[in-house]
Amino acid sequence: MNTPKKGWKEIPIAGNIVVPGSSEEYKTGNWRSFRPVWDSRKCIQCLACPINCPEDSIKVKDGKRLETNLDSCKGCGICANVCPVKCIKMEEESKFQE
Amino acid sequence: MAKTVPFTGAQAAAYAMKQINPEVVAAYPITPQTSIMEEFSQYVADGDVDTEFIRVESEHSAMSATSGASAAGVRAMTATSSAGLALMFEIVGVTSGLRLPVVMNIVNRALSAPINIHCDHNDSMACRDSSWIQIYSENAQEVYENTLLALRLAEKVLLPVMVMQDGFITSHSVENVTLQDDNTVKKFIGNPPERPHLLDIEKPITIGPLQLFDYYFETKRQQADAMEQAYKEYPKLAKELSDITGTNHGFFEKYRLDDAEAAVITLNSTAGTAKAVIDKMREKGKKVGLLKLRLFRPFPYKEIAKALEKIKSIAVLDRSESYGANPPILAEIKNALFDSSSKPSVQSCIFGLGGRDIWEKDIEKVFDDLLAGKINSTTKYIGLR
Amino acid sequence: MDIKELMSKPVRLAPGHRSCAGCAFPIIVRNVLRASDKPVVVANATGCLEVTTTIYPFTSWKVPFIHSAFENAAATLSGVERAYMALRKKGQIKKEIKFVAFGGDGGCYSDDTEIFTEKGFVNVKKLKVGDKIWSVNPNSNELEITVAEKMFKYKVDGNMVRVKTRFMDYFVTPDHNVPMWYKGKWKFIHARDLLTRYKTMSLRSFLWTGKKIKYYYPHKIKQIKNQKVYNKFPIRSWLRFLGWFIAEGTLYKSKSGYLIRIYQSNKKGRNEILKILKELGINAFECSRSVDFHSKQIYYILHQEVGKYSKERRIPRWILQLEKSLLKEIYITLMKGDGSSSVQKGRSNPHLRYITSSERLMNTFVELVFKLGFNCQVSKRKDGCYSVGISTIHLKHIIYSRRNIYKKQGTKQVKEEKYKGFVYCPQLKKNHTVIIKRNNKICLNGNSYDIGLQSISGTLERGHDILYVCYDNEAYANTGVQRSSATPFGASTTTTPYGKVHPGKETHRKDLTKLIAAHNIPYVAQAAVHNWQDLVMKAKKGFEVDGPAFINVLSPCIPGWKIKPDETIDISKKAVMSRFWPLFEIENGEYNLNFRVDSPIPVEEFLKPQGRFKHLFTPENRHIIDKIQSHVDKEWDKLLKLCNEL
Repeated sequence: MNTPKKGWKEIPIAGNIVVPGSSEEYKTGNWRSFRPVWDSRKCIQCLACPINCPEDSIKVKDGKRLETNLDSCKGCGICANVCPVKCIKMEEESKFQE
Repeated sequence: MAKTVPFTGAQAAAYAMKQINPEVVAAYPITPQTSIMEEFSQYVADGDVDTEFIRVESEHSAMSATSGASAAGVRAMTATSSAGLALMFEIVGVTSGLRLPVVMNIVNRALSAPINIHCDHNDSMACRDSSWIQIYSENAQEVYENTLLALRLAEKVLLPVMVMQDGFITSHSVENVTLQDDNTVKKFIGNPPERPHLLDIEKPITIGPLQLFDYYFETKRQQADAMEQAYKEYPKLAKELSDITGTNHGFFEKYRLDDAEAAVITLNSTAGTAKAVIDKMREKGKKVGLLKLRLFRPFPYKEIAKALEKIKSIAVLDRSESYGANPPILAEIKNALFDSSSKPSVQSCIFGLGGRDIWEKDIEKVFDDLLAGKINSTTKYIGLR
Repeated sequence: MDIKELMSKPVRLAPGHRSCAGCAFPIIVRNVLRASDKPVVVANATGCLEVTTTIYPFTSWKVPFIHSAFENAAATLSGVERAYMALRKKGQIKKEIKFVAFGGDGGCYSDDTEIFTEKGFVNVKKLKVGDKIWSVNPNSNELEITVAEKMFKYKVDGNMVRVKTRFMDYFVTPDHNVPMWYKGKWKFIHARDLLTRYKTMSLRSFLWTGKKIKYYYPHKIKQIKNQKVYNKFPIRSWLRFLGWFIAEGTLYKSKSGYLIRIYQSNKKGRNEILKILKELGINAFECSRSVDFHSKQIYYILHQEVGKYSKERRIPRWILQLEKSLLKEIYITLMKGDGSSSVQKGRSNPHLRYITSSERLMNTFVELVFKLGFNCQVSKRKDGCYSVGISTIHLKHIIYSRRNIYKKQGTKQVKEEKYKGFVYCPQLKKNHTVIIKRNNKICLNGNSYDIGLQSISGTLERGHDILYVCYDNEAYANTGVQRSSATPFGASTTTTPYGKVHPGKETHRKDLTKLIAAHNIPYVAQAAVHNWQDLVMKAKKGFEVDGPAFINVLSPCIPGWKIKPDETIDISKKAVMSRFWPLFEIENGEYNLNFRVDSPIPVEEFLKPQGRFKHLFTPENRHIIDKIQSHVDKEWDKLLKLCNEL
């Protein structure tokens, strides 16, 4: 996000955004106060957390969930809330900062 | 082969729309625009056009649907007047902001209140800052040709265009109109340009995002630049059309202006009345002339100043008021003359609000006053009791 | 609706949007868009969703998206949808695009329809991907071969459109693409449009440009003594010969050699055959009922290309690639051989008919007929032979709508008929037209573009094919949570705050779902963010229905409802379990309760976690909670009655 902003001759007209899904570059991960910590051993792969994640931070590959994408995770805690086996715990983000 | 038919202004506009054959037209009826839509509906019903005609429930929706269709990449047109234009004003700005090449026929009618169905120009003048290109038409022939020209211009610079005509006076009066044949028109309007649009699934686009203080200014500068392009392109397209039809096109029309001592500046149908008056007075040896404006936005300041260089006195006839400031045409003319070396005396006249007629004798009096030097800074209200 | 399958679909709303942590609407958007595989165009009004997903220069949308203004998303999208329909009709857009909706489209055939392929007529059920299918270019009216890319089959239980005229017979889904001949091109309309159109023009004659050659070079064999080996034949003479042979020829192999015999009891015919053979340089001799000659080379050529036994006769493929005037040569002699021309009383033009027992010959003959610009009907006789009735006239054909202005037609040409069964369709690589045969009648027809799942509901709606999804966060959340007509009774918002005199909003919320249902659109539903199965099912139905559909989805708002970010799903569950937000749908006016709550939780359990209702939990405001509870109970009873669930 530190790229210099483009001038009026360089941007597409009418404010059209021609790069679909460009918001992926905008890392909302720094909004977090709490981080989801996932215990993959307890996880039953029910996929309730990815389907309910507002940020699409939990990707699914071959029918199994992967680690949470911390670039986009806002730390809302819905994943921990809906997990039927409570294998996700919300821990304070400050613990992970150096 | 071109053919000459007795058409009203509304029929001329509808016929131009038929020859353009836009993919979508969305409109809501309002007097005196209704006739355009009724004519066009018959074309749709007879299968003379391929247009999807959306009979919307309000003008706000009419412009929303038209701009939605244009954003989808097709040719879209609509028409309205007065209160309808006022109601769709929000989306009028959206359409030009989204740089959509929509062509809209405006049948000039007074704004409310009090409610009035007759002609004056306050409705389209209220939109002069909306970033739409504005072209005014004196008679049905000009309405027909301006609509075709408008499409070419809109698609060249990607700005929407309004084509005006006087409500009832032009829209409902029958005149001889020379229509070009379909092939000539097709060749003139050509194919629509490639532009990013919603139905291009391979390249998904987001149209109409939120732009805050860090980008909005740049987008608006682009719009202003497009207007400058329109100013450059209009004379080229006007010449191309003139060569085909023989009708004079251009920023404005100079009627016996070159050696005139007194001139009248106006637009739309009043210009026709003025021409008749000028012919009569010229026979008596009086040196009078007319500058009839066509392109109001972008305004051709330099060319106007040049055209008025040698004129001694001018009367600007406005069919709209600005209430508390110079009326629209006067403001622009004075602006044009500010940088000119010659400084003719300018008389402001306001006439015709709410459809009040202006007669030949009224225009004759205006000229007589100009030639007699009876010019002052108070606005003359022509035809007021 | 397997969750693994849903989660494997590409995501259409990217992360990086700036909605509040825990906001419900991104969950709703993704699940609604997962319900369709087709390309989708999204329109949005000004609000939280639009503002947080399109902050320039970023956009979260991976599909085409338009935002115009507040309160005009519907009008804007209807313009987009009509533009799409206009381009579809012109054939400029082939892809099926949905406007946040699937309106089952493309169209299909009943299972007794045959499609004309390179191998002849094949029942639509038996078509396979990769089959080469004959089609007609809509712009040039030329016959072209194309390939089936996909095959579709699905169940139908409802109305289909039946077209039966003197020359055409088809039974198709209402959204089936029917080609009509308009201003020198084929344009597509929907089958259901035929029901109300006055007349629709169709053309039974197509163009064909084939190859031009001058000579045929027969395959050479090892020299046999005394036998002539032929190097080249003038093509026209060879074609004329083949026509005779296919129709009336036989092959005999005996000790005396390889005999080719063409039966012809007519002297004139025999003279003609002899003339042709002379042109080819073949020495033949005339018998009382045939013309014979010997040639091992030609014997093998005929055996291989045309077939020895009558049941396997066919016109060789390479001949069918030739241009029209050459094809005419073989046609003329085929007709002279096996064709019949009968003049009926009262008719000025004779009936032309070609009869053969060979299916392959019938199919290749039909192909020949099309390429000559004619049309035909094919029927099978009791003796197993095929009878091809050739039309060289009546090549422009008009279908009259069922409004039957012309009384000279007998039964109505276009009807709606109920059909319960499967329908099939090939998706072609180009042109999207096919030649079909049903009940012996052959005509040009259309095919589907890109069909996903489809269900046809009984009613045919003429409205815009758009799905409206309302994210109901019960306030004007984007601008700071002001009250809206969707805000529930008793809620505290910034314009109805709890104060000393007024305890929050004092009017009940609008029942938007029932209001929309009063418009009599085919599908209306109420859903909630926590029940994704129900939401995806409803979105699917909304997409598949033909016409406008509306889903009202409960979308908890963290700053608006004053809940914690992780409570979004919980609070939605409580809304449903307390009967505050019932899950139901209205399909064509019929109510259906999706989730029956027999042991509800008290509504205050739904209200308690929400800060916007905090002020109600005091003794002096207790009556407001009671009021809300009794309102919820009354509405639930009303709903049960409508759903016939009592």
